[in-house]
Amino acid sequence: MEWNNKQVLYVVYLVLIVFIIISLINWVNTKSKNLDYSQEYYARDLALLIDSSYSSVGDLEIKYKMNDDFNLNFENNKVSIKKLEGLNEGNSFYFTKNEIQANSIPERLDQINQIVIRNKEDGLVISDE
Amino acid sequence: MNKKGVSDVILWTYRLLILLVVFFSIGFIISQYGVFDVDTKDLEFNVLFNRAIYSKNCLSYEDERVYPGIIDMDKFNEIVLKNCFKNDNQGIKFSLEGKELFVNKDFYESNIFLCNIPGKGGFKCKSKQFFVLIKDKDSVKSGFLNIKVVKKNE
Repeated sequence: MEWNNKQVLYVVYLVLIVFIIISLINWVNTKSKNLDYSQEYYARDLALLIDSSYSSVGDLEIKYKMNDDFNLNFENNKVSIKKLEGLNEGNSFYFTKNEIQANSIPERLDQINQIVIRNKEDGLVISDE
Repeated sequence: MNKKGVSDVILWTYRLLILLVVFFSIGFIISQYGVFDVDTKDLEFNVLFNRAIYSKNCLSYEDERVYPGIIDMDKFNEIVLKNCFKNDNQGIKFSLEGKELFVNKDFYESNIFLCNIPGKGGFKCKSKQFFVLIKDKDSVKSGFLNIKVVKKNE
């Protein structure tokens, strides 16, 4: 069977479409699994969530789930988050502590995928359950 | 190369050029609409502003309940504000009824001129004015609370 120019062109177009779709899926997949991005996101989100919790007028309880296990550190007014994986340096973000009310913030929580933030009469409490 | 061969080369060069244009266009569109950094600048400032106004542990007046938006003048002092906004990487200036109070005054005054310098080591600033009610002893009057924050970039 001998292919004419038009048929060759359609095959090239088909290959091109498949190539672009595969490249796009692969690229989006790589970006979505980017550890640095998710750590940066969680560090900022948690620090800002703690900041916001101090402003609550009534009682507050937030269960915060993450899509993987991380090591969290809350020392020196800073949320540091790190996944034990290769040479990963981890990410951190500052929060503004309110020292007028009682705070029960652990120095670190290891290998957890959920934390609970409570702000009630007895103060702000962060725990893993 | 005969005449047909030459026209084929021209045709395929043209197609390859179109292919490259398509590739670069897709790359350009994705880079324009893809969000790869987490920008929380406005949120960071608004969370701090709201704490001053809404938290019973900061400036809000409280009897049996909290009155968000009513400032208790008894709480408007540097000790309360310093403990309410404990963070060494920011300086805050509060102005109410002609009275100015600072949290981390040295940090604020030495970095206020370095606002809007991007990147690590730079600073970001924001100020906001709130219309508030001021509870001073037994009287309540209206006024404006100005808050200006200088934050170190992280």
